[in-house]
Amino acid sequence: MNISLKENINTLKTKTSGSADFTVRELRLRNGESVAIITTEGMSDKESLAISVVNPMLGCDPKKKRGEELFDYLVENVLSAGEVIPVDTLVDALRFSMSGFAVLMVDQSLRMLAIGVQGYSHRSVSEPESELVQRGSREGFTEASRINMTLIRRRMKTPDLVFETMTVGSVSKTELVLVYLEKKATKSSVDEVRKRLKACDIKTVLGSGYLVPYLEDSGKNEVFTGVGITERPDTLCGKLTEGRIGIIVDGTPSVLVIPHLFVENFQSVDDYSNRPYFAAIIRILKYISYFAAVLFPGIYIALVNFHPDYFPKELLKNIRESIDHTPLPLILEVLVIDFIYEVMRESGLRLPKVLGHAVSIVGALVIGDCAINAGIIGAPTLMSVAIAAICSYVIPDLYPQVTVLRLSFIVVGGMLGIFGVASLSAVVLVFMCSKSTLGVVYMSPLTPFSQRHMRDVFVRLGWKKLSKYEMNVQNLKGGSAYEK
Amino acid sequence: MKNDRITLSQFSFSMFLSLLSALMFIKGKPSVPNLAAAVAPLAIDLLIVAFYKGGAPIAVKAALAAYMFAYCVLVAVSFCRFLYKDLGYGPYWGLALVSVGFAYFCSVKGIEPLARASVIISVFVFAALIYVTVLSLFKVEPEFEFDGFSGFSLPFSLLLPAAVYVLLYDNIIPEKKYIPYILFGILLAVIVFYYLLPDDKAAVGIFKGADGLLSAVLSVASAYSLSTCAQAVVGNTKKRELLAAVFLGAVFAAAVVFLYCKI
Repeated sequence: MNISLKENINTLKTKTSGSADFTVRELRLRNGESVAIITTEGMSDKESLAISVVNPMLGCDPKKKRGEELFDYLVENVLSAGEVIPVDTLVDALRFSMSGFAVLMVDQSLRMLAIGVQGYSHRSVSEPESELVQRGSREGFTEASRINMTLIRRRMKTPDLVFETMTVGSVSKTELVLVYLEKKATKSSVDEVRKRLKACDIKTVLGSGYLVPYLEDSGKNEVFTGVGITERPDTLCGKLTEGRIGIIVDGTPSVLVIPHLFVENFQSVDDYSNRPYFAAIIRILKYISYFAAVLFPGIYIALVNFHPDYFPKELLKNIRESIDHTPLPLILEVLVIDFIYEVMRESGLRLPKVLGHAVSIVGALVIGDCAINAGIIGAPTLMSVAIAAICSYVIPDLYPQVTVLRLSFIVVGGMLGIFGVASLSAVVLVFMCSKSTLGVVYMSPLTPFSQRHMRDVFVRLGWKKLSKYEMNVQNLKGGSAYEK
Repeated sequence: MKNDRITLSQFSFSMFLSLLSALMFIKGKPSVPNLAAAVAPLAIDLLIVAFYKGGAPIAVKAALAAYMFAYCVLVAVSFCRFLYKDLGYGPYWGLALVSVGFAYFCSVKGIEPLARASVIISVFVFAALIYVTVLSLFKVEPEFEFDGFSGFSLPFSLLLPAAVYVLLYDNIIPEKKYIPYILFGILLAVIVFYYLLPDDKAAVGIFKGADGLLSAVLSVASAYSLSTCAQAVVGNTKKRELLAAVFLGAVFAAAVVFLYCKI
C-alpha cells in the first residue's frame, strides 16, 4: 500500500483490470483533504452508504487534520455505520469491497477501513424443495450466508453458538461460515475442520459440494459420504446440539454438516413432531425401502437366471412366459429399463415443471405400456425396476448411492447369481464399516454397537425418554480420534 | 501395519462367521471319533490361548499363520467344489474370484472394518438361520447335499479362534461383559451338536436346507473367513514369518488335499 491516495486507486484499478463494477467515489472534505470510498456496483446498499458514510463526511469539519490523524477523526467522530473493520492491504480492501463493504481510503494514510453497508439482492427465505415437512418450519436456507446465520441464531439464542468466517478458493474467494456449539463440538474436531478447509487448494468454490472431498477423512470421492447436507435451519440446529459442525457456503442454500452418519439418512424433522410409534413405522419403512431400492432388481434377475425354483410355481410360469416373449437377455432387459428410467428421471428433473409432467406421461404410457404390449420388455421385469425406483424416492439423501449400487447388483446378480449378490453386499458393508469422518465411524451406532444411541435409530423414543440423555456424536464408540 | 482396535465381542462375531463357513464343508455321521474331533480342538484352543496370549514366540506365530493360510486354501477350494459339484453352479470361477477379491479388499481395509461388518452380517445370518429353521419345521425338504473335506475341516474350523486370537491379541480390547460370550459359546455348542446329528430333521433344515438363501449367506461367511484369516496373517506377522507361513501352509494344504484324494 502506498501513502498516496491516487497511487492506491490506480493500483486497485490495475488489479481489477478496469472492471465495470469497480466503483471509486472520491470526496474532498471541507479542509481540502482527499478521501475515497471503494465499492462494488450492486453489492452495497446505496442508501446506507449515503446516510452513514458519504453525508457525514461531507458535512464534517476536520479543520487541519490530515493523514493518520484525519483517519482516526473520521472513524471516531464522523462515520455512523455499525460495522467497521480495519484493513491493511489492498488485496483485503478488494476482497471486502467485493463482499459488499465500502472501503474508506484517506490520502497520506497507510490504513483503510471496511464499512458494513452490504446490500446485494438475494432470494428471500422460502420453503426448501428438497426437504419438505408436514409439521415444522417452512423456512429454508438462502444463498446469502448472513441471512442463514440469522436463521440459525433465531433458533439458538445461546452464547455457545459460534460463527467463524473464513474464505476458500484462490479465485472465487468464497466466504464460508463455520458454525458450532462451543460446549458440544470438541475443540480438536473444530480445529481439524478448520485445518482441512485451510488446506483446500481449490480455485473456485461455487457450491457446497466442491468442499466435500476435502472434508472426508479419506480425502477420496467414495460412494458413501461422511459429510451431510441440509437446507433446513431447524435440521442444522438439531445436528449442532449433537456436537456436529456446520459449514455455510456463501452463494448456496445447502449447508454442510460434519460428521454425518449412515442412520441420519433415514431421519427427518417430521419424525420428531409425529408420535413415536408412527415415527418408528416410517423409519422401518425407510430401511426396508432402502434395501428394496438397492437389491430388488439384482435379486430378481439372480433368482430368475440361477434359482428359478425359489419362486412359487404359478409366478414362475408367468415370469417364464414373459421372458420367452421378449427378445433381450434378462440382464440386458433390466439394464435397459433402468437406463430408460434414469433418463426420464433426469429429464423430468431438469425440464420446466409443465414439460416434466409431459415426460412422465410419455414415460408411463408410451414407453411403459407400449413396450410391454409390443413384447420388447416383460411386465415382471419392468415392475421389479419400478418398485426399486419408487423405493429409492423414500430416502432421497441416498439416491446417488442407491443408483450406483442398484446397477452394480443388477450386473453381479445377472452374472453370478444370488452368491454374487451376497458377496457384493458383504463388500459394500465392509466398505461402509471402514468409513469414518472426524474419527466418527460412519456406521455407528449400529457398529460399533451402542445401545444408548440406538434410541433414535430404528425407533424414536418419546421425548420424555429421549431428553434424559443428550446425544453427542463424539461420544459414539470409535469416535474419539480427534477428541484428545 | 494399521493400528486397528477391535472389541472382544466383534472378534467373537468374526469367529462365528468363520466357523459357520467351515461347517459348510463338513460331512460326517454321529460317531465317537467325530465327537472327539469336535471336543479335542476346543480344548487345544483353550491351551493355545492360555499359553501364548499376547506373547507367542516367532516360531509359534509362523506356525499359526501357516495353519491359517492352509485353512484359507482349503476354504477356497471347498467353496469352488461346493458351487460346481454340489450345486451345479455355472459361474463358480467368477465367484471364486469375487471371494479372493473380497479377501484382498478386506485385508487392505484392515481388521477393524471387517470386525465391525461381522456384527451386521451375523445379524443377517441369525435371521437366515431362524428362517431356515422355520422352513424345516414345516418340512420343506432340502434340495442339495453338502460335500467336502470330511472331518479334515473340523479341526481347522475349531482351531481357528485360538490361532486368530493369538495373532490379533494386541488389537483386541477386552470387555467386562461376559454374558454375550457365554451365549456365543452356547450357540457354538448347539451348532456342533446339530452337526453331529445330521439325520435330525431340524438340523438338516438348518445346515442343508433353503438352497438359495442359506447358501448365499454361507458364501458370504466363507469369503469373510478368508478375509479374517488373510488379515490376521498379513496384518500381524513380519515379512520373514509370513514367508515361512506361506511355505508351511502350502505344504500343509497340499498334504490335506493329497490325503483327501487318497481316501
